[in-house]
Amino acid sequence: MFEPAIDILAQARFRPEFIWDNRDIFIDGVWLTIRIALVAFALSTALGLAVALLRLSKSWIISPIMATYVNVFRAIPLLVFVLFVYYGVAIHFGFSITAIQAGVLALTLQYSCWLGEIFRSGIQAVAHGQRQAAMSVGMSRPQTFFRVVMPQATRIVVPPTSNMFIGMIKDSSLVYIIGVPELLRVSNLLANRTFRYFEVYLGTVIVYLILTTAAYFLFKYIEQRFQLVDVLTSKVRSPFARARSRRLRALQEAVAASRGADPALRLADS
Amino acid sequence: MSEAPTNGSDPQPVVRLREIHKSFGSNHVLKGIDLTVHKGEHVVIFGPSGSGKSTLLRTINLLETPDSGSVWFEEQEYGPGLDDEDLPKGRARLLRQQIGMVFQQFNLFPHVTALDNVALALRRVKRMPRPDAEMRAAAYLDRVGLLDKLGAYPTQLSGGQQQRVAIARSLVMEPKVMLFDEPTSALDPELVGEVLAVMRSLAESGMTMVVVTHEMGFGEEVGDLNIFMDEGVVVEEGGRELYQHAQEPRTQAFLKSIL
Ligand SMILES: Nc1ncnc2c1ncn2[C@@H]1O[C@H](COP(=O)(O)OP(=O)(O)OP(=O)(O)O)[C@@H](O)[C@H]1O
Ligand SMILES: [Mg+2]
Repeated sequence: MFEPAIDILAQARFRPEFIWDNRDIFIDGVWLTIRIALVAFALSTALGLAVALLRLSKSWIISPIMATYVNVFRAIPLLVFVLFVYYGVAIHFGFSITAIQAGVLALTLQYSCWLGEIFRSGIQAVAHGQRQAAMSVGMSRPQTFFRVVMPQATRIVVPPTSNMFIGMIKDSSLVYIIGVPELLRVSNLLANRTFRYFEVYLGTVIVYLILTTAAYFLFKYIEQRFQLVDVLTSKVRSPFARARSRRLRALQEAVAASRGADPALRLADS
Repeated sequence: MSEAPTNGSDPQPVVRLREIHKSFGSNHVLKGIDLTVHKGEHVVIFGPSGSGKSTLLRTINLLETPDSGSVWFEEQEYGPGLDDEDLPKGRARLLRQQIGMVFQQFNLFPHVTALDNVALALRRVKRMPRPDAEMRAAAYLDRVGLLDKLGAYPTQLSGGQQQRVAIARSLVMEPKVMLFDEPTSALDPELVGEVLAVMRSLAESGMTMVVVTHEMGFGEEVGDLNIFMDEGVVVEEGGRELYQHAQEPRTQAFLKSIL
């Protein structure tokens, strides 16, 4: 399957087609990298939100516990943490989890701390007056949080969260150390067997670049979707915006038509 | 806990604060405030910065819980410290649904349109179906002269327009009292007029209002009861003549300083 490693001169020649010839092995690794990054990120987001909410709780006991959780898990180098979770805990104490699960667990525990801190600062960045305004019209605390605070906090945290997602793609490579056959592990095996270090690692670099760039554009798109435009005055393009603009126009006409003759109701001239 | 409400002659009292005390840490902000607001009455409160005007206003709708004293609305006592009484736990929410509040910084929800700012509480608090809520909200935006802006987001509106949306957002809940906390002090001078005009029309329509403002012209025009506050106490109160004929030296000095 692999070429024997003898001819030094032949080795020195750059053979880009080598990557293509071994694409099946690469693709399996890439798939696993993507799956690990997505699953660990989804779990980290959910856990991070819980961490943020618990840290913001007014309880004198919960908040310090969560602060400790965050500060401890953040302070450990991820590579060390991956080894600790798998060999140090899972294998040593005989938990029946796979290396992939252990890797996802380690990534999740650490990333939930970073994301938790991002979400917490996002929630805190929403002006206090927003809560007051929501409560002053009779909204409950949950309604205030989900309808007023959370949508604004979400917009605030999209850019830093996008950085974390890109970080997750890159950091997922660290689970190679416990034998998870993701992209880096596969690349190592291939390179060590064939001595085609340049081609193999060039391929690896390019794949990571493609993945992180795709993630970047995905989040850029999300950010754009959050942009607030007045559909009545902007140049309407999407069918959604057109439908919305039509609905608002109809509303304006209905109100103008049913305008009462009672001038006392009018508080200002249009 | 507190004396029974004195069932006065008409007009009926709507808001009654009795002996309100409030401290933030060691900062004693309200020192035994009494305030009665009757139906249709326009109360104007003024005083130096830090004298407790905003805290007093927020006590009326229990955005601020007083340390002691009692807050009455119509015939019902709402607090503080009535946890085991007949009213359900959402007592303060019930109170707030009947009281509108307009803030110095507008506090519009920046992530939704003017229409949704006004419709939000109708849908979530009054559980009105979306088409009805939007129709109502649009009608109220029309009342404040902003029907053409219903699709705009707050950042796309001028300060005066934002404040008018905020007024519509409160009015749409059909409150029995409207509270205004320095509604024009964050506005550029040329935008103050449009907001005061709306407030004046609202006063003429018979709305019960409590207004913290330093627009003394507004007080002289619509203020039935004018209150000068300083350091957490009511120093002096009176009718429209207060602005020209204040008795207390502190009131005189303050009025002179802001003219
Ligand atoms: N949430 C709070 N926490 C701590 N202190 C507060 C809080 N709200 C108000 N204070 C303090 O209470 C005092 C009165 O504040 P308040 O906002 O009621 O004054 P004000 O008369 O409205 O002043 P201004 O004209 O500047 O709005 C001030 O000393 C202020 O620092
Ligand atoms: Mg104030």
